Amino acid sequence: MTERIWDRYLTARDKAVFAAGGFGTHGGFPKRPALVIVDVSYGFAGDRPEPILDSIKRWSNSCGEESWAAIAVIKALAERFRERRLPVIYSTGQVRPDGWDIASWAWKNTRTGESVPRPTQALDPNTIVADIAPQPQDLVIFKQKPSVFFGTPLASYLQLLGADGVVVTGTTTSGCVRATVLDAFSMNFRVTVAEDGCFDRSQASHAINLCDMHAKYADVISSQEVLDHVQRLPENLFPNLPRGHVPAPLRAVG
Amino acid sequence: MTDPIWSSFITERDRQVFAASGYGALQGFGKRPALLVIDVNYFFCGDRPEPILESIKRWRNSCGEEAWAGVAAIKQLIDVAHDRALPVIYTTGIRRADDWDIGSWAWKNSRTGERPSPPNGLDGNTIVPDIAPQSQDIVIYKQKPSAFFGTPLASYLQLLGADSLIVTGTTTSGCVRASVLDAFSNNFRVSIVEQGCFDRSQASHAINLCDMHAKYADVIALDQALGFMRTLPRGLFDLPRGDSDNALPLAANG
Repeated sequence: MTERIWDRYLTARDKAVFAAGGFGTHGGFPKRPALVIVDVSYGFAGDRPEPILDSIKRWSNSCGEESWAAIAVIKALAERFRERRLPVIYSTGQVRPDGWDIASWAWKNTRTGESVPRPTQALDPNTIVADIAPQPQDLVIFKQKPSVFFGTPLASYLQLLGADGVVVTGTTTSGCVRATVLDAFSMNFRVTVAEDGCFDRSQASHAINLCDMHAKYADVISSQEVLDHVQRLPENLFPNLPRGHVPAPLRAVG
Repeated sequence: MTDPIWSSFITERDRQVFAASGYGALQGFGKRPALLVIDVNYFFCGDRPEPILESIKRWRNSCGEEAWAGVAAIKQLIDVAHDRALPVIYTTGIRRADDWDIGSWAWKNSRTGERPSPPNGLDGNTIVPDIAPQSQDIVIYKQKPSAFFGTPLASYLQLLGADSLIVTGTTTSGCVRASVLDAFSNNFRVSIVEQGCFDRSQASHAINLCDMHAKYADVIALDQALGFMRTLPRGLFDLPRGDSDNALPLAANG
């Protein structure tokens, strides 16, 4: 078995315990997967690739250069999912201009106020980065808390689509990715995490959260393995994807 | 201030990033806290204190000796909570005899199907007798990591008028983290008592405390929690009476 990114953070006892406890077996790739791209917005990527300690001067949540390496991976995954007519689902944050609904986010971070868009900013921190901008047929979920499921229609959309699992990418690995993976697990979806499509501001948190998820909740695999799985799926699994355009007569209804 | 437990697991860059991005501020206690004791049962503690690699031979989820150190700390918290008439809420697992509802748990662990058969016939989901729930306490039966998922916990906290949770139990990286996350998403203030939490993995324990302290909760010492609880007036909560006389008439109302 090749070395995993988390191996150097584990103690020798941890490795023995994970093995003896039976954790980290292969869960299996979903038969009807949707791609979920968690929070790949300017707030988390910054407005350009630069070292994280520079980037967070302007973007308090930025994950620096690693963001942009993952964005290239996510772009390739999203293109392949669209080619194969599989659902592509984005999430990003949403907050009132007066910040009332920031609530618990404000309790643990001295710079939380910066996540409210300011008129002086050229870019809204919640805008998904242009390199992977959602296409008309994609789904975009607006959320307020870490999990893409919390207080959103995501579960109902997956039910409507008949998806049996999700391939999760985005940021942060230890925050919104983990929270979303956890809820997907709890709802009995098969979960795959594309390792190189995830990023975090903390190196240790990135590694250990991948370890925890792989031990208990998801298969953590490379994006190339995801592409290989996707290539083997039957055609036209999701005949009821959003059309991505609305004929003029329908637009007037409602 | 002494170094937190996670300091030896994170990188130098991580330390700088956490400081610069504003994470890990102290939120402080709420005004109306409930004590939460997560999954402190035989499955996760084993039936006696022994080295983890011994204990997991019979109890695959066991956290070994650390579990019993955690139990001793939790007992102190429960005693003070009872003295101040604060809500004490336990969780433990529940499952059908035929295991149909095991769902996603079966996908990532090669030993999930094991039905431990200890010599004394203990049920793994029984909360360890050192901290057995008393009649006025509340017990939540759950199937997935979070104490909130598919349970009435949120409605009970609403009924009690609780604004915050003091969290203990196991595993730090599993059900504790999942419950803390959902409490955060529901805008409860959360304090985690470090000595009252335990995990099978040393690295996961440390880094998950780090993640939670950075974003979702204050990780505090046992003495801080005990001291705070002792400052609270008795009678803050309309607790369950804990008598059993009403059980039958109430049940008949349904």
